[in-house]
Parts: sequence; C-alpha cells; structure tokens
Amino acid sequence: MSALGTYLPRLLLAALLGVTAAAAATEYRLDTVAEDLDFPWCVAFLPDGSLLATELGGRLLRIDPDGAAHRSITGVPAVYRASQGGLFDVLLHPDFADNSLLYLSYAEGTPGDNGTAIARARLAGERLHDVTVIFRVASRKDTPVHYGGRLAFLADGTLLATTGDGFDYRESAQDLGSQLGKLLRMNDDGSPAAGNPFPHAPYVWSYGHRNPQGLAIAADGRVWLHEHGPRGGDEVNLIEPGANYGWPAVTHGVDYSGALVSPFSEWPGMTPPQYGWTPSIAPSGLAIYSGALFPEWRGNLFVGALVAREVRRLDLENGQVVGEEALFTELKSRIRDLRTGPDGALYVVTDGPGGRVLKVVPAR
Amino acid sequence: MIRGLGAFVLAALVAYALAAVAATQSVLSRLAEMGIEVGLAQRLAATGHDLIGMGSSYLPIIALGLAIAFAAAALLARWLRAWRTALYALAGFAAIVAAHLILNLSFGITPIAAARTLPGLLIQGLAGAIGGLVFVRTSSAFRKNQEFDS
Repeated sequence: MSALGTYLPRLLLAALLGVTAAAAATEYRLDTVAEDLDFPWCVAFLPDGSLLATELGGRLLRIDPDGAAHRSITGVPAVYRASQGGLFDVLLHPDFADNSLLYLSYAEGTPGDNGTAIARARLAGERLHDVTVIFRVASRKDTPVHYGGRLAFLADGTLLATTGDGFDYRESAQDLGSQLGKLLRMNDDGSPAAGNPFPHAPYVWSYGHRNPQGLAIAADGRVWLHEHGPRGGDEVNLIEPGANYGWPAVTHGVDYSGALVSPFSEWPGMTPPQYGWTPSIAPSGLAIYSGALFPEWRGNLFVGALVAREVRRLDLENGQVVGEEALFTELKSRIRDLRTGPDGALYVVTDGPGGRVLKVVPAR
Repeated sequence: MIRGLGAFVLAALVAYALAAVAATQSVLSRLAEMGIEVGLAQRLAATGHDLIGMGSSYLPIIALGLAIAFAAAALLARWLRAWRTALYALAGFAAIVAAHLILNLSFGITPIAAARTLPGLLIQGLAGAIGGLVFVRTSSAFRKNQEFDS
C-alpha cells in the first residue's frame, strides 16, 4: 500500500478531530525553568524537586526547583563530542530513592571507532560515584551520527535502549548480528535480559530502526518509539518484541540525495509504522502525558520536532493514532525532548546553543 | 565557446546518468542481499526515479567537479597533447572520487550510498572517466566540424 493509502484514512480522521481540537484548544502557559543551556538533550526529575539536564557537550547539570541556579555534576564519563555525538539521556533507576542510581547514554570512542554506550553511577550531591560502563554497542562505526541514545525502564525493571544505524551502516539495522539500528533490552546491570526474542542476539528486542530518538512506556505497558526517516518517512512505532520495523528494506522516505532507499514501503513480515510524517518533522523526544494538570491530554503522545520547530500531540485510541495537533509553535525552536514532570506539567527542552527547559502549565 | 559548453554539458549528463544508474543498482543489490528481491519493472522504475530524484543534488556536484577537473586537464593538455584523452578521463575520474571524499570529510558520512565501499566509489569514478572521454570525443567532433565549415 502506498504512503497515501496507509495514512489517508487516519489523516482524514485526524483532520476531523483537529477541527474539534482547535475548537476546544487547551489554554496553557509556558514557563522557563532554565535557559542558556548548551544543546540540552534530556531532563530527569529528582525526588527533591530539582532537575537533571544533559548537554550534548558532556555536562550533566543539576537545576534547582525554581530554576534559579544550575551546577555541573562531576564524574560524568568522557563523551565523544562530534556532530550528533555527545551526552544523550539521563534516566533514574526505578528505585532511585533507595539506591541513588542513574543511567547515562552517550557517544564514546574516536572518529574511526565510536558507538553508543551506557554508564551507571550513584548520585551524591553534585558528584557521580561508582561510575561503571554497563554496556557498549559492540558494532563500532566511523560516522559521528545516528546514535539513538534514548533509555527507558520497563515495568519489569529491565532497561530499554535505542541505537541508531550509524547512517553509512544502514543495512546493519536488518542484521541481527549487529547492534546498530536496534531497540535493546538489558538488566539494570547491563547484562542481557531474560526472555529477549533472539537467542543468538541476546540484547535485541526489536530491529529495523534508523535513528530512534523517542522512547516512552505507556501506562498500559505499550512501548512507543519514534525514529527519524531520511527525507520523509519519520515513523511512530508501537513496539512488539521480535518485530522487524523495516529500515532500510522498507520506508516512506527517500535518501537525502533524492535517491530511493528502497522501492518498497511495506514487505511481508515487516511491521508498518502506526503513524508517520512525510515530509519529515525530525522527531526527537517522546512523552506520554500522565499528569493531572491537563486531563484532556492524558495518554496522548507528545513528539518534539527539530525541523518543524514545534510539538506534535498525537491522540491515541486503542493503540491507534486518531488525531494530531501542532503545539507550542510560538517557541519557534527545535524541540529536543519532552517529559511529564512529577508536578503534572509537561516539560519541553529546546535544542541549540541557547537551549531552554520550559514547563507547560494551565494558563490559570 | 558555445560548442565547448555543449560538449561539457553532454559529458556531465553522461557522467551523471551513469553514476546515478550505478548508484541505484548498488542500492538494489544491497536490498537483494537482505532478501528483498526487486523485479525488472521495479528496477527500471527505481532507476528512472533516481535519475530524476538525484538531478538537483548529485548532478550539480558532478558538473562542478568536472568543470574544475576539465579546466585542469585543458591546461595540462597544452603540454601533453598526446595524452589529452587520458588526461580528461583521469580528470573525470578524479573529479567524482574527490567530490565524494570532500563530502565525506565535510559531513562525516557518505551522502551517496553507493560510494560507501571502495568498489562502489571506483565505479562512480569510472562514470566520471567516461564523462571525460565523452568530452574529448564531442569537443573533437565539434572542432572538426568547425574546420570543415570554415
């Protein structure tokens, strides 16, 4: 089925619902929590109300609850900072209140030999202790792009991590012997998790991904992931263990040169996206809103858009995207990350040398 | 001058067409290695798509590269007249290979997927070399016609 055939019914429904959404637009206010950050990538929320924020250059910051001050945390592993490479996600262990453990994903290595890595450390004040690299993508590359780098814990305590295809290694996404272009699942110490679908590829949970930079677990346990397409073909995928999401054998996008990546947009045995964008919006950051401040947004997907410079809210019904709304266009900023805060606000991270962390709260 | 330009345009178009066709076949062969078989009709459609699709990106790169390389070849050919054909072929080859190396150094990636491997890069360069031969042949033909006309 063509891209039009795949998405047309949903887009028609989305258009209809969009009219409804516009008629009852949610009134919100954008409050700045932190500014003048250098390419911020991700935020996490500490139990004391302060924030952790990563910067691509390798800094991990602790930001006071009122945003008045931020301090660098020491002990962060050295990152490989080049092009898209650097420090990516920070994620608290589910038992952080008891064990103070956090996880960092980052690019490490050299121009000719680099890859995505995950470190675990214990946070004490403004210092990381017991820093341990628990996982390194075994398939190395010589390109400074497409690292993936998103982390999330499943309810069973296992850790999911996305990896990109490295751009020049796109066929590796279809190769179970490679860890590029995969969603990996591991224990909290970095060892392969029991129950993964491929005995000969013990970390791989799903494959056929290009550069997934959005990963979130819904309250119902569904795992949502989005990934950048090339020119067109951005995808929102509902993850099933063992499924093949097609890249680069099938795609709705074309290469940056204008050449086909594949003549096919679907193939037997490959799972099609739940939703997609052509032309590309360059999705980065994915939140499933779970706060109390905006009841009408609960359960919706919020997707940051780097190129489109806005946030896309996707309305879900039974695991299907049934509506789309563009939000926060007034920021006119590349959106890098989105999170639901413990205070019920939606947190938005803007990209760039003057990056900001903002929180979305009701207008009154 | 106009005739020389015509020879250059033809050479650039031939080099681009050969490079684009080779690029498509390279991508499709990698798909076949993944078990994605492409039928003849799809192969032809994909080739046509890429010839048009890469026209706004790869064609200008090839044209610019050939323009610089052919200018250098023309200078050298003043002293190495007997080597004129080889010089233009070499210039065409070097132009496309250099373009890929520069793109790779600039962006850290290989924008034209077919050039990711050494054989693929050399085949792209070969398209440039054939463009150089086309330029020599057509510019020579133009020159002979000019002599007959006068």
